[in-house]
Amino acid sequence: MSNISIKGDLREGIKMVVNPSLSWDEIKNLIIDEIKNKEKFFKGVNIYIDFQGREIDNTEWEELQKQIYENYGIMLNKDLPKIRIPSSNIAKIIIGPIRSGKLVSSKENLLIIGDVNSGAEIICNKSVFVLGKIRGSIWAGYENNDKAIIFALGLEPEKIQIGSYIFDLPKARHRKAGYFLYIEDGKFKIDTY
Amino acid sequence: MGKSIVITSGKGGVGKTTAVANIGTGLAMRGLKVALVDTDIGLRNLDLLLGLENRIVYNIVDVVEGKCSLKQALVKDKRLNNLYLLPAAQTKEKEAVSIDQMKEVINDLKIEFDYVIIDSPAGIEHGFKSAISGADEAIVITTPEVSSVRDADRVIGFLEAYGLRDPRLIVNRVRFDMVRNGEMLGVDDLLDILSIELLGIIPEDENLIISVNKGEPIIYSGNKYKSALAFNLIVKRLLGEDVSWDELEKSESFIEKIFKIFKG
Repeated sequence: MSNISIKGDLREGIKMVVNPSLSWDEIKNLIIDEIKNKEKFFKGVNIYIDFQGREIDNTEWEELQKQIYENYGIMLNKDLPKIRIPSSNIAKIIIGPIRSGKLVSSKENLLIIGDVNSGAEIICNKSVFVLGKIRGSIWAGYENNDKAIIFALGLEPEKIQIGSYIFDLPKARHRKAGYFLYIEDGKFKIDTY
Repeated sequence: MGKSIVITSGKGGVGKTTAVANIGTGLAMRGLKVALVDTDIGLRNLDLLLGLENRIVYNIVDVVEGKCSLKQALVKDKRLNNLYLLPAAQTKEKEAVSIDQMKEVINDLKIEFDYVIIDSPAGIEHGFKSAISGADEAIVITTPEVSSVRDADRVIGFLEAYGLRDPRLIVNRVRFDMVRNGEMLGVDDLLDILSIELLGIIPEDENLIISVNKGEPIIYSGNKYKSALAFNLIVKRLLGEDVSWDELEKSESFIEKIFKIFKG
């Protein structure tokens, strides 16, 4: 493995993986060289450095950050954005719409193709993906799985719950075309597209 | 062999019986032989809407109990010779007719008639299940209110579970002015939620209330009133004609314009 490699697999930007066994000065020079050589390529892109568990001194890191930003206008990050993927890739597929009065329960991830209408209930031990609009109620990560996520194309729900957290959604209609709901640090988070 | 169509809604008071009376009359006015079946046993109303309440001798419970023949129980309409009503019993309960008995009655009627229109009771209990049991097709009626829409959604789920695929939708009591101002769910919103085919739109019309109280279906007035026009369009659509709903909205805005002129 080379001492530095680029992985562009982040939705938010580019990941740069460095060899954790090198000294800080070596790592620093590697990063600076890499950015200097491909300055145009990196322009305007978020760069996340993956130290693969290596301890980094904060003042040294901030110095590098500042140096790169001043010379190239590029902001380095070291905290990787969490990539939210379901814990297993098996999903039960249901063709919707799920109508009022219908209860769907599943121990596997759920992929619902169609809307979940008002008065319908989904209870799933894992994650729920709705290729449609949620108007009914969904409990993902039943009963205590806070790692579950919910994805929906449209969001006007009656109730949303992930694990032990109930999402208090403002009544206003959302006008985005995709929603990711998940729990982070004990709080409900919502990403839109 | 005729066709049986059930008109149902889940929620009460959204216009099932009115729709049955007017669609049935409309089909009969076009020369088809039509039987209307009131399955709302214990809460019959269809006879009132047709103005036939004082002509009832026997009812559907008498038929299944063998007290009379099906022919004897059928009440002929006052105006049309080819329109008949099979009334419900007012003094019995829904369970007086079993699902199999209802199926048999509807099948017997289908031999004699071109169209058998079944008026379903509100709710999703026994009465509803027996009402849909003999039907070949279903029409779901709803008003543009969230409670009514949710119940309609539930009923559509039931219909599909009972093998009545592809029910069609009638939206009742639409106020185009409120829809335009965003104060009422539009027909497009309802179709988006319920994802079934649209059969018709009936605008809110006070003349409809008058006609119900008079016991004379509004469809007799031709296209004079907007609700009558709406029912005529629905009947045309049922008979397979291509119908544009623009006509309805145009007539509405025309009436509104006249009102505005009078109000100055």
